[in-house]
Amino acid sequence: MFLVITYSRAARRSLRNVTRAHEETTIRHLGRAALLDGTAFGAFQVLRLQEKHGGDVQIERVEPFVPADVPSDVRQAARQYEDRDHPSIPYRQFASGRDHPDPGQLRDRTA
Amino acid sequence: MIVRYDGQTWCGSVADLRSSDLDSGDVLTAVRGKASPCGVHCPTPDQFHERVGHVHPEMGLRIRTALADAARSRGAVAPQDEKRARLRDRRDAIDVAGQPPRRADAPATDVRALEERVATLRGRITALEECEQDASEERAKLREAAARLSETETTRLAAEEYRDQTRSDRDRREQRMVLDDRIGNLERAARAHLVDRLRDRYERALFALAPTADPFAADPVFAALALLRIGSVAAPVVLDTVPLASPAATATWIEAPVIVCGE
Repeated sequence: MFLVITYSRAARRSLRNVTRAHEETTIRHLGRAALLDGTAFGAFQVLRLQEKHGGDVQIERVEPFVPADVPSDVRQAARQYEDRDHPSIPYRQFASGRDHPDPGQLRDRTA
Repeated sequence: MIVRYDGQTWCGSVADLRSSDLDSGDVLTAVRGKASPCGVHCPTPDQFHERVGHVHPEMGLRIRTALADAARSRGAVAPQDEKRARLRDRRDAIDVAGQPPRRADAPATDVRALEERVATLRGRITALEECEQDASEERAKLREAAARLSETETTRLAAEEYRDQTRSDRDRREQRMVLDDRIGNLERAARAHLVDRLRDRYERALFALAPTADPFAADPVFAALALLRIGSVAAPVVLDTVPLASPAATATWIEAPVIVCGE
């Protein structure tokens, strides 16, 4: 999928026109950004926007996400932290007594 | 106002050019001080004149916007003006031109296709060598394909670098857009304020011309005349049509000089 983010009013207007005209290619429109199909047609549309508005259009390729794609200890840490008994406990402290990765380790790892 | 064309001169508040072959486009160009077959000596037109200075049946007119400009032409200000000017200064100070030059064009050949070609050629060479056959032709092809692959990869790498450099540029663009939105909101609010202040006078002026017209969906010619009457315009108004009894009556009613052109 392609994520398009616009950085000017004119580019935002063009993006709106594209998503309105091609609903079948638009997965989601969020104000000044939109998620378009990863098809060649989607690519064609996002490139057209960039040709027209240059640096005011940012294009990213994004992937569908399923939790199973990230390491299981990270998933477990998230689940158990959200299920904690004391809402005020910071994650760093929560992780230190248990077998969870600490925030520093999490930052250094790629998920 | 002084109009000169084809050896003739018109002075005063009415110039009737209907008997000449001049069209209103040329006259308007002259009023705006640009090169034209005719010469018009007059005050410089302002933004209000830009909106309603050329009256013709097919004119597109955004009545609310023009009404706000009419108010401005009389010196009205809106409470939002000061803040808007301040934000505009901040917006104009944001430099996005300092970005690196536009990326090199994407490579014409797809990297993936080249990689496949290289792999295929490698396989073929291995196979030929195993059978002890001559693989020199394949080797030459492989060298060429590998060179093109490396060139394509270099271009791609440059594109990635360009991408990284544009990230800080985006922060500035982001700020600029936030300011643009705020300025836009202030402009709308200022317009609404100004429209409110002149609305009654505009409706009365329009009523005199077209009693049954909806003020904000009126015939543009009548709407323009009503706006011209309540606004102040110093540069001559170019007419393609004579909506009132005569050009002179029109000039008197809108309190501005007029130039009438043939249809």
